[in-house]
Amino acid sequence: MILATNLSECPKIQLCFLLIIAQICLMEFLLFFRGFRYAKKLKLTSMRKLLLLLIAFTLNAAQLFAQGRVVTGEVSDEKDGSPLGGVSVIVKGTNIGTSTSKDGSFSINVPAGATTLVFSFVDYSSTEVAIGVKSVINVALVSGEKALSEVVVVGYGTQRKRDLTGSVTQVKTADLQNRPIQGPDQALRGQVAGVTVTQSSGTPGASLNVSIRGTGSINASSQPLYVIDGIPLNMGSYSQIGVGGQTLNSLADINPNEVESYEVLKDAAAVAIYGSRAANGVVLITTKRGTNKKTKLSVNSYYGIADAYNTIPVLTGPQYVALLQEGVRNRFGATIVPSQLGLAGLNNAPSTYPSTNWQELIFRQATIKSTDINAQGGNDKTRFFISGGVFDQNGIVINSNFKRYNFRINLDNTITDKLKLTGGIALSRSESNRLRNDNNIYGVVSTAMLLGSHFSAYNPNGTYGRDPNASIENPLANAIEVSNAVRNNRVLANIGVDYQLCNNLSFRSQFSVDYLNFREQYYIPSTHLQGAGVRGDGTEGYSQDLNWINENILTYKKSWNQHDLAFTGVASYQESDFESLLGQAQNFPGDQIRRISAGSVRVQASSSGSSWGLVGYIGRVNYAYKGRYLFSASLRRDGSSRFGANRRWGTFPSISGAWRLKEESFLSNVKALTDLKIRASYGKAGNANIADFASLPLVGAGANYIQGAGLAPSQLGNPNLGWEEAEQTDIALEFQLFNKINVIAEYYVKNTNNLLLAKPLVGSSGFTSVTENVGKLQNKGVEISVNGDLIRKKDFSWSTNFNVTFPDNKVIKLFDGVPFAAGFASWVQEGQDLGSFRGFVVKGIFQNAAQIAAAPTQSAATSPGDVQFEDLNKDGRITSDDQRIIGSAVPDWFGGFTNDIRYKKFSMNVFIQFVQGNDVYNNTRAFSEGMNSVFGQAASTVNRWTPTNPSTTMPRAVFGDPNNNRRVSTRWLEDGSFVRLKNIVLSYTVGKSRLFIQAENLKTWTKYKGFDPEVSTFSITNTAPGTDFLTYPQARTFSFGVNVTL
Amino acid sequence: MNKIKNLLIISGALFLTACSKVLDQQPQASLSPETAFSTRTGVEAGLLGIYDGFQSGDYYGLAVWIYADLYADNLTHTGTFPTFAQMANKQLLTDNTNINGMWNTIYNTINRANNLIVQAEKLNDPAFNKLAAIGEARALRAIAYFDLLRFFGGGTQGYGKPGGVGVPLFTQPTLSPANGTPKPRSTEAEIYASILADLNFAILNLPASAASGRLTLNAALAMMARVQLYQEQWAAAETMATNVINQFAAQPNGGLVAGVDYANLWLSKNVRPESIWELQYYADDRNFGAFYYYPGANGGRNEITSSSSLALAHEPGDLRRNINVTVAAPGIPANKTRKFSRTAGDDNVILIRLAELYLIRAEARARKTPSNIAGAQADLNVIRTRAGLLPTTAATTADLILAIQQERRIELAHEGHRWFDLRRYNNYSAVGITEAFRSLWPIPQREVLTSGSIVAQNSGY
Repeated sequence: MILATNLSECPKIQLCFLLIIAQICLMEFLLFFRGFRYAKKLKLTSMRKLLLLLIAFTLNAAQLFAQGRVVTGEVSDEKDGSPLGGVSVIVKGTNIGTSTSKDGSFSINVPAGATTLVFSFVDYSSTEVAIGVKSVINVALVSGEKALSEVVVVGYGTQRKRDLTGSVTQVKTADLQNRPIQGPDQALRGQVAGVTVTQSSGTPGASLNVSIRGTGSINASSQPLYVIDGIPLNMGSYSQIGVGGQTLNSLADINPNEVESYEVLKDAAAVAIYGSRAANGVVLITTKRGTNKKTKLSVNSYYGIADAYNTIPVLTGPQYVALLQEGVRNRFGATIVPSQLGLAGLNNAPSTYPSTNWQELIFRQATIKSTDINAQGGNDKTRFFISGGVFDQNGIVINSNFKRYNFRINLDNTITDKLKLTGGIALSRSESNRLRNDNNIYGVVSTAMLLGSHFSAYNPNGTYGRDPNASIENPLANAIEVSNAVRNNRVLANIGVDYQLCNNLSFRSQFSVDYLNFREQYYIPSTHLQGAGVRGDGTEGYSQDLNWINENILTYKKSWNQHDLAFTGVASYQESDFESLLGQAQNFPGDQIRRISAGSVRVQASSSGSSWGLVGYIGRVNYAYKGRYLFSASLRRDGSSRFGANRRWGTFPSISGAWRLKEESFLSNVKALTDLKIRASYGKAGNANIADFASLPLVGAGANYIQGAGLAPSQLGNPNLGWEEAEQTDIALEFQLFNKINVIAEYYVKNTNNLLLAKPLVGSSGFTSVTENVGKLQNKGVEISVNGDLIRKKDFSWSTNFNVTFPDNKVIKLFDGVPFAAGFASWVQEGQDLGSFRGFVVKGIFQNAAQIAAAPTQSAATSPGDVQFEDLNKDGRITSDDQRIIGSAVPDWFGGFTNDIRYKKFSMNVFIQFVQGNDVYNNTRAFSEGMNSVFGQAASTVNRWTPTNPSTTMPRAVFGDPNNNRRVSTRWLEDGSFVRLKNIVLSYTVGKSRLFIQAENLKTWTKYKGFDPEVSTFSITNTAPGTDFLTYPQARTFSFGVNVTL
Repeated sequence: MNKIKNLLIISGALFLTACSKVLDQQPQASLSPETAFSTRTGVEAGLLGIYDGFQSGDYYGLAVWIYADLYADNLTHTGTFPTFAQMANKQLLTDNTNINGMWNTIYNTINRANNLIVQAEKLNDPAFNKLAAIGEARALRAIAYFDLLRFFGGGTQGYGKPGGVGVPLFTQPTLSPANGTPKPRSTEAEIYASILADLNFAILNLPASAASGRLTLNAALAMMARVQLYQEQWAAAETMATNVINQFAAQPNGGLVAGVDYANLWLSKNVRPESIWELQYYADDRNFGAFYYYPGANGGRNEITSSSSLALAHEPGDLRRNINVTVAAPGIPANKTRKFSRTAGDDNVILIRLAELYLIRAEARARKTPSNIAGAQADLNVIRTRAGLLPTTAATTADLILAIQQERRIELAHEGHRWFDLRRYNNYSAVGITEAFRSLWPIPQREVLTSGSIVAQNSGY
C-alpha cells in the first residue's frame, strides 16, 4: 500500500509498472493453463498449490496498482435530451466501469493510458468517445440498432451480440409475459430454432422434454444443463413413488416472471466452456436485477379458466355390452354367454344397460391464477430486485393441482470502485396433488378410458360403481379417494464478490447453493379397491439434495490499436449430496389418520444416499481485430467422481471465428444489406448424466429372505467408463436487411461419440448390461430464424419472429450393432432415427376363409374379420421376423411463428407452434379399439367387421384376441403432425399499465386421433418418444389479467 | 485493503481444500465385491440373496407357476397384459417381456449362486459350515437350471429324449463384462449332468433340518426325485421318492395333512411334514400371487382366473374342488384359488411337498419295467383318499398313467406343474396346440440378438 501511494506520485514509473503487471498477469495465466495440461499427471495437491500461488500473486500485483484521474459527464437521449440512468460507462479494454445515476451523470476513475470510454445501454447503440485530455464528457445516445447492440449472457461473462462467434439465442421474458406458463422450460417452446420442447402431458407440475439440436444421448440424460445466475440446477424428479409415466419437474420451482432472459447456448463454441455437462446444450437463466433508477413497482396478475379441448368419443353402455357379447360369441361359439367365461353381469340384453361417459366425469373447467409483485430500483451504490408470487393451477382432471409460492431478492452493492458484492436468494415452495397416470390401472385418465361405459358411476347406496370383471378402479375413486400430496421447498442462493485486481484484470468468486427438500405423502384409503384388502396403505418419502458450487473467475481485457483481447480463466468446484428416506405401512385405524405411524403393518422402511463431485479448470481467449475479424478459443478440463478411475478427467476444447463482412469496404455500398456476418465453430462437450457410481462393480443390499439380510451382486464395473463426447461443427450466416429484418441461417453437425450405453449382455451371464462408452449418434440440421421489426411508427408497429428447424437424427453405432426395443413399439437400431417405431405391417382385414387359406399362416385361430399382416420375409408364416421400422417420432421440421402487432393502445401477440412429419404410436387405441376384453371401447369400434359390415379397416370383436390383432403394428401408428395456435394475447395499455386477455392452446390442427399429438407417455425419454398411452392431455386456457406499473 | 486480501486468500484456500474431496465419493447403499463376501456374515447374506432371486415375481414369486398353468388349461386370462394373452392363446412372440424377464431373473439367480459357491470356497472360518453352504447354493442352482430346461429345453416329445436341447450353462460367476461373453446352448443332457452333480453334492452336505424356507436334505432328495421323473429314470425316481416317503409313511395319511385340513396347507404356513420346502413371504417381502388372481373388489388386478375346464375336471365330492376353483363367499372371490389368498402378498409359495412325491412314485412304479401296478395304485390312492375320493379303478399301466396325469392336474393345480406334465406326456395337443414347436418356449429375442445368435432360437419361432 505504501509502495502504491509513493508510485502514484510518479506517472512515468507508474506506467512502467503497469506494463510489468500486465505481463505478470499474462504469465500467471500461462502458468494457469499449463496447470491444465499437467493436471492429469500432477496430483491435485500440486494443482492446489499452483492456484493458491496464483491468487496470492495476483493480489499482490493488484496492490501495486496506481490511481488515475477522474472524468465526469452526463448521458442523455439523443432524441429528446432526457437524462439516461443506468447507462454503463466502461474504460475500453478494461473492466473498469460505472453506470450513470438517474440524472444521467457519471464519474469514473480513468487510469493513465486509457484512451476511450464506451457508453452502452439496452436498446441504444453503444458509443465510444475518445478521452484525450478531457475531464468532462457529455454524450447523447442514439436508440435503435437493437438487434446489433444487444448484450447476451454467455458462459462466465457477457458479450455483445455482434461480437459472438458461437450460436447463442436469447429469449427475453418481456416477450413471454403473462402467458400461463409454469416454469422456464415451457417458456422456450417454439421460441428458439433447434430447440424442441415437448410437453409430455398436461399434468400440472409435470416434466417437459427439452432437447437442443436433437436427442443427444441414448442412455444418459439428453436434457440441457440449466444454469440460473451461475448455479447449475438440480434436475429431474425426486419422487420415490411411482405413479405412472409422468414424472415431476424440479424446474417448475422457478418462477418465470423473475427471469430477465434465457440464453440458449447451442454450438460447441458456446457450450464447451461448460465441459462435461454441456453435450446437450446449455440454458442460461438470468434473473432480474436492480437498477439505479427510481423504484419501479409492478403487479402482474391473471386469472384463467382451462378445459380439455378434445375428448375421445366412446361407446354407450348398450353398444359396449353388445360388442362384448359379440366378441365372446366370435371366440367361443354362438351359444356361449359371458357368464360361462366367469364374466359377471353381462348376459342381459344390451339395451338394458345404462351409459356412463367417464371422460365427462373426470374432466372439468379448472381455474388458473397467478399474482406476482416485484420492485426494482436502487441507487449508484446499491441496487435491488425483490419479487414475490403465487401461482395456482388446477388441473383439468379433477383433484389435480399445482401451487407455487416464490420469493426472491437480488442485491448488488458497490463497496468501492474496485470491489462489488452481488447476492441473490430465491425461496420457493411447490405443492401439488399427484394423480396416478398413464400406464397405471389406478390412474384417472387411464381408467376413464379403460373402463366400460355400461354401469353407473355411483351405486344407489352411494358407493362407487365398479366393473366386477375389470381389475381397474372407478376413475372417480382414483381421483378423489387417493391422496398424494407432494411438497417441494427450495432455496437457490448465491453470493459473489467482484474485485478489480489491476487495470485489465478482474477477479470474481461466487459461491452458490441449490438446496431442495422434497416430501411426498401418499395414502390409499380403505374406501379404494387397492386399499380395501390391506385396510389403508400409506407411504411417505423425503429426499433432499444439496448442490453447492464455487467458481473463481479471472478476466483479463486489453485493447490496443485495433486489437481487442480478452482472457477468462475459471476454477470450478461442485458437489452434490443426495439423501432419501421412505416408509410404508398398511392396516390403518380408519382413514382419518394418514401418517404411517398409525399403520400397524410396517411394509417398508429404507434410506439411501448418493453423491457426486465435479472439478473444472477453464480457460478462454477472445480476440478481435478491427471489430470485424473475431476469434475465440476455450478449453475446459473436468474431473468427475462418476467416472472410472482410468477416465476420470476429460478435456473439452472449442475454437470459433467470425467475419463481419459488412464492415468491409466492398459491401459499404450495398445499402439494403445493413449487416452481414459469417461464423463457424468446432469443439467438444461432454455428458456425465449417468448414475453416480456406474463405473464401480457393486454388491447391493436388500436381497433379503426370511427376514434376514441378504446381499446380491447388482452391477458390473467398468474402470474405463468415461465421458460421452459431443463433437459439434457449426456454420452460420447472419444478415440484416434494411435495418429491419434479421436472418440467421445455421447448419450444424453434432456427432455424439463414446455414448454411455448399456452394452447389452446376454441375460444368461446373470447381468443384462454394463455401462460402456460404445455408441455413436448423429444429429445434424438446418436452423433458420427470421426476426423482423417490420413497422415501427408512433401509432402502429409490427414485429415478427419466425423460426424453423429441419432436424436429422441417426443412430450410427450400437454395441456390436445389436438393436434393442424400448417403450411399447420403439426400436433403437443403427442407421435409423433415435425414436423409430418397429412393428408388423397391416395388409388389411380377412374377409373370408378363402383369403385366410390363401394367405401366409398367421395363427390356427385366424378367422374372417381378423387383421392380415404382411409376410415381410416371405416365408409363408407370420412370425416375429415379419417386423420392420414403421415410423419415427423425429419430425421433418418444426418451429414457431410469432407476430406482435400494436395499434395505438391496442396490441396483439399471436404465437403459432408447428411440428410436421412425425409419427405417434397411439397405444391407447390398442386398448380402446382392441375389442378383446372387458375394456371400454372407443366409438370408432361401431364400424367393426361383421359378416354384414365387411369393414376393411376395423377388425372383428373377438374375446381374447387369438389372432393377436392388437400386436404392435402400423394399425396404431398415426401422423403426429400438428399446427397449433399456441397463444394469442390481446392487450390495451393505460398509462404504464396494461389490461389483457389471452388464450393458450386455442386451436390445434391435426389428423391425430388421440387427445393431443404433443405427447410422451414416457415423459423424459431418449429411446421411446412420441408414444401415447392414456396420457393426461394439455389444457386449453382462457385468461385475463393486468400489469400495473407504478 | 489488507483485510480484503486476507479474506480472499483464506476463502480461496478453503475452497481449494474442499476440492480434493470433491472427486472422492463413495456409494452409501452398496458394497464392493471384494469386501461384501469376505466374512462369514457376508457369505451367509449372499446365500440368502440366492433365495431372494427365487422370490422374484419373474421367478417363483409368480412367473413359474402362473405360466405353467396359463400356457395350459388350468387358468384363463381375464386381465390386461397382452403378454399374458399370448400365453393363454399359446401364441408366444419372441419379444414377450414376461419371458425375457423370467429368463434374465433365473440366470441372475444362477449367477448369485455361482458367485457364492466361489466365495464360500475361499472363506476359512471355523464357525462357518462351508460344505453345507456350498451344498445349499448348488441345490438352488440345480433347481434354477431345471426350471430353464422345463420351459426352454428338451424336445418336442418331452424331456430326456435323444436330441433334447438345453440352455447356456454358466457355472462360474460373472465378475466382469468379459465373463459375460455369450455361450452357445448346451445340450439337454449336459444341463442334466450339471443338475445331477449339484443335487448329489447337496444331498451329501445339506443338513436334515433348517429354518423354515431353507433347503434341507429332504428338499434336495425330493427335487432329485422330480428331476429323475422328468428324465424318465423310473427306478431311480422311485427310490429317491421312497427315501423321503418312508420317513413319514407310518403317520396318518402317510404324512399328508388330513383332507379336512387341506386348505390349511396354504392358509397356514409351513405345515409339516407335508410341506417339504416353501418360499417364505412376509408383508414386507411380498409376492403378487393373490394380487394377480383377485379381482379389483378384493384388492387385486384380476389378471387370471381358474378355468372352467379345471373346475369340470374335478370328480364329484373332491375336497380339492373349492381350493382349486373357489366358490364366492365373504372375502373370497369366485373362480380363484385358496392357494393364493393374501392380497398383502405374504402367501408362502410351496416348492415341493410330500403329495407330489407320492405321485412321482406312483408314476415311476407304473411306468418302470416291469411296472408295479399295485404299488402305483397304493400311492395314487393315498392322494385320492385324502381328497375324499374312492380308490382308483385304473388297473393297467396305460390307465394308471392317465389316472396319474389327471390326479396331478388336480392335486398340483396352481403350483406350476400342468404345462410340464403335458410336455412329459407328449400331450400338448390337449390344450389346443397344433404346432409341435410350440411345446418349447421361445428363447427371448433379446438373448438371441444380444448374443449374435450364438444362443440359438428354438426352431419354429
